[in-house]
Amino acid sequence: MIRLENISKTYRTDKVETLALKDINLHVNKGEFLSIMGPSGCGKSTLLNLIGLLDQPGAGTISVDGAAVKSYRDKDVAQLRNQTFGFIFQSFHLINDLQVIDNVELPLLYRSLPARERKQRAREALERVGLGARMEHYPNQLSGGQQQRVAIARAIVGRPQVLLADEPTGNLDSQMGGEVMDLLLRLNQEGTTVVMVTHDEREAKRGSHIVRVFDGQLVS
Amino acid sequence: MFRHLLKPLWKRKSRNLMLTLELLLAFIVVFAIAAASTRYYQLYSLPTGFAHESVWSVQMERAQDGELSNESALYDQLKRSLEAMPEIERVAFADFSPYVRATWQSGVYLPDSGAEMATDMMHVSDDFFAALDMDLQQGQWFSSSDEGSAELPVVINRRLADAMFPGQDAVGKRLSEGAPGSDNSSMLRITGVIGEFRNHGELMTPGNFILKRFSPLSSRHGVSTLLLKLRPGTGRIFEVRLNEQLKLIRNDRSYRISPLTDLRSAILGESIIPLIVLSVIAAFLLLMVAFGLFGVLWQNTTRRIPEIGMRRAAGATALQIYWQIVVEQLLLSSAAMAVGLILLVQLPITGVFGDQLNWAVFLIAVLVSVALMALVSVVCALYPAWRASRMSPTEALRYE
Amino acid sequence: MFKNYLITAYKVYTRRKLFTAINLACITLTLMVLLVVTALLQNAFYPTGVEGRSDRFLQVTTLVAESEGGNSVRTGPLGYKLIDQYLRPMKSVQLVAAISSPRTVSVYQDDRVSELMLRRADAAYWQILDFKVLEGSVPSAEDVAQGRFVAVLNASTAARLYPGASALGQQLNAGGQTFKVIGVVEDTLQLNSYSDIWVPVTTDPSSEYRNQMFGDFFALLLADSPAQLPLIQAEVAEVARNLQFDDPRQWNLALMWADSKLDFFARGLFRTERQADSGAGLLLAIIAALMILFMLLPALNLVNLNSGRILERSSEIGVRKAFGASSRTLVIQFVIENVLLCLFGGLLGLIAAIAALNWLEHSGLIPYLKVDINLAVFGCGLAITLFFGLLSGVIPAWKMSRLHPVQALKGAA
Repeated sequence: MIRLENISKTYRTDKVETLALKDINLHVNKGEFLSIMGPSGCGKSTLLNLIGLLDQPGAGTISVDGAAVKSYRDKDVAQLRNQTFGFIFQSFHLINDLQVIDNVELPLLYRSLPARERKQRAREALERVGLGARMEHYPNQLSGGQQQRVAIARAIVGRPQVLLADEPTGNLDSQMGGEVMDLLLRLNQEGTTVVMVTHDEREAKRGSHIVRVFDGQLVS
Repeated sequence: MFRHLLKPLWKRKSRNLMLTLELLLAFIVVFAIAAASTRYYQLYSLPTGFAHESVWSVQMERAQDGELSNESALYDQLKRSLEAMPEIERVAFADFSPYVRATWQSGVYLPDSGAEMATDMMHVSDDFFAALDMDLQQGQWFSSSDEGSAELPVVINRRLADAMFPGQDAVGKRLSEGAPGSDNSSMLRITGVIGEFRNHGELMTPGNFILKRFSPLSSRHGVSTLLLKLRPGTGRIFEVRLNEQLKLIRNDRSYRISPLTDLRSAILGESIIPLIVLSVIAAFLLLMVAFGLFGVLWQNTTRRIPEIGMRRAAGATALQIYWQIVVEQLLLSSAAMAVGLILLVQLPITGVFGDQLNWAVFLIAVLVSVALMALVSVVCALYPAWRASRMSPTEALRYE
Repeated sequence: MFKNYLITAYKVYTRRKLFTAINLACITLTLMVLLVVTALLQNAFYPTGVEGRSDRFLQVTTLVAESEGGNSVRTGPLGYKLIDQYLRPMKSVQLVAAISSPRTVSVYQDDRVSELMLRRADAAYWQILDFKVLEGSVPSAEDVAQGRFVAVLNASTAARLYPGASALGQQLNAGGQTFKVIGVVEDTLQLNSYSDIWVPVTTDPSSEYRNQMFGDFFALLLADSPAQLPLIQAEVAEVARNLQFDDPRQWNLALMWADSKLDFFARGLFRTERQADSGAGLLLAIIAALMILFMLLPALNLVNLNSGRILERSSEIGVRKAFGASSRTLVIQFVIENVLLCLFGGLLGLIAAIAALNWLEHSGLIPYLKVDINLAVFGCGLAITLFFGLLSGVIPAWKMSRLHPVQALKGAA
């Protein structure tokens, strides 16, 4: 599904050069639930961003569905992201100025779909995460768990092949976190590939496969 | 403490640059208005050198073009029949009336050394000084006893006298109009010296002036303006009878009769209206700057709420937060004004505007505009600062 | 898609009320001022009403005479003789009017003196301009030919001089001459029609004016159609070339131009009396440049405020990018948001401009002012608004769209 070959990434700030990832080879198989673990600052979020084409590797190649990503031109990656990935963030990143339904609809805006179908699919996605009744609310009127479920609805509304979740339960208490995990597992069982960054051993073990990152390198 | 304020300002320099530009622009416009107003006030408090009350000017409009030749009989008749009217105390003639935007400029020379000086001048009759209630500083007015002298009798103002004859008594000295020895030069003899004379009125920049004698008997060219000193308390309705009387003397002319007070307010208006227009523009600019400042400050304080919470948690009082924001704003405005001042101070140093922008005007204008800009800045900072200082530390820290 | 932009814009703006209010105030105020200025300029250059036929007539206002070798030059209004002998016989014109510029005159009544403006005009003047006659009539060709002492007043002057009574038939003593009022016309403040009192040119106290090449007159030349105007311009230049002065030793070269209103103002401003090109294009360019300059400060404000919002909206930008928005779509979105706000501000500005003009007309600050906002002004206003929206929207939008998604999501810009 997604293959990373000899990926390295460095960050430059004024004078200091930090090596975030070094020579990573990783293969994400279709339909698996991959957990990426590691202490904070080890580069696991960077790895996730690279998988999701949010960031450009310093060296190495990434291929999606067998095709290597050659161009990181804004327009090309934007389309690829839109078609292939759904993102879930630790701090939800919902747009507070928009209602829940509009937030969920967002990924569909960047495809040419008629408005009616967009709304229909957004409604379905919200129902799948159990928030069919909250469509007209604003994000800050919801609890943290509900907000993260809205974010998941947004991630799946475009029916992406891969869900990328960056510590999706990090800002939630254990009960809400459990609900979110259940939801992700159910989506995985329904056929979506999930890649999740976490530092919770128990959560990681619920996935099908674990990789560990330490100091920018894979240890497994 | 001060460094703590400056550093974040510098960090946000690209954002603050725009704001600084706006402040700079507004500052310069406000300065221009303050400078113009100050200069006007300065000029207004100088003497004009004549009294305009109960003096009327009569403009004789002629039909034919070309130079006006002297018709001594006409001037004689005008003078006698008008002075016979009980309302009229005195009748004088001149090239043009005070408070009318007409100038006649020429160069005068010292006959021996050839030193040149540009000066304004006009022809006036012997009664001009009395009609306009002018004060003589030295010598005497020219009069009919000067009739027939080879050199044209003139009265000059103090400024010209000091420039041409520094440290000497100018009375009795001679000047040459036109380069000495050239074809069209003529000799002038100074009979008296007056103080300032500013014929365009209160807002005219003081300059050199020569009043040349117009004699209905011997002058080559005629003049077309009458100045009538009226008995105090004569109403405007007298114009009807005056016009009838003038028509009796010469029927083929139109006469434009205007009290000097009317001409005065017209010419003052001409100078002040542009200033009013400029002030409207400046008010608009200031309002824009105020909007911009307020909006940006609002955003800045909103964004910095966690920082403010942290400061509160570290023990800053609400008042300290309040002052921090106001002082930051003042610093930003001061930076803009400092740049503005560096630019503006070049004006009096290089003297491009000459006496229009002398140091006194400059300093007053700077004070006024700095005060105004500071006021606007502080007023814009008050509400955002108040809001930030009112927030409780826990609230501020939780704010996303 | 576009509808979605509208909804997003609407929601963003209604949720940030203070920010929106400040932005709107900036925009409204700026556009109001610009619209008022545009309306005034439109009224001066392409008037409707009394001088509504401006697209069909030209004016000759200045004669430049030069002596042999160019030693002395005289520039001034035309004499009546010049208009009568040289301009009236022109082939390309339908009608030629001679009028004097307005002069101050004292009007004497039993107990008071009023200073008013008086024009002397011939009969053609009343045909070329569309005065709205409220009472009585304007001077006929016979009135002018016979030198009858008749006068026309404008409405304000009639009401001022004869309060509570009809002005018609009243005796008017202006500068010592007595006229009979035969008509009252509506007030107007346009270049050729502005005055308080009009009397026939033949009532001048002296008949000397008939023999002058230089004087106090200018000419209006009416064409059959707007298409004829270039012909008139060419013929006037030709007439000037063949002009014979009374004393050819004093003046032997003459220059005259038939000008539109825009040309007239441009000539006055740039002192281009001696060349055929009045500099009208330059004048328009300067006006446009001044307007842009005037927009600069409020535009800077919007740029500043919108740029400031990048931080506030960085999470939104990150999310949109993560879900597949390209930079271009984001630029379009933000620019549309800004243009929409500007259009709304423009609408408010238009209402405010109409109110301001109404106030100006009624305040008497500029006497006789009457400006209407027509479609042309509205079109200009729309163009100005769109330009302003783009000017103030593009930079922040570009900056926003350039944010790197990872950075944007971290909220550090």
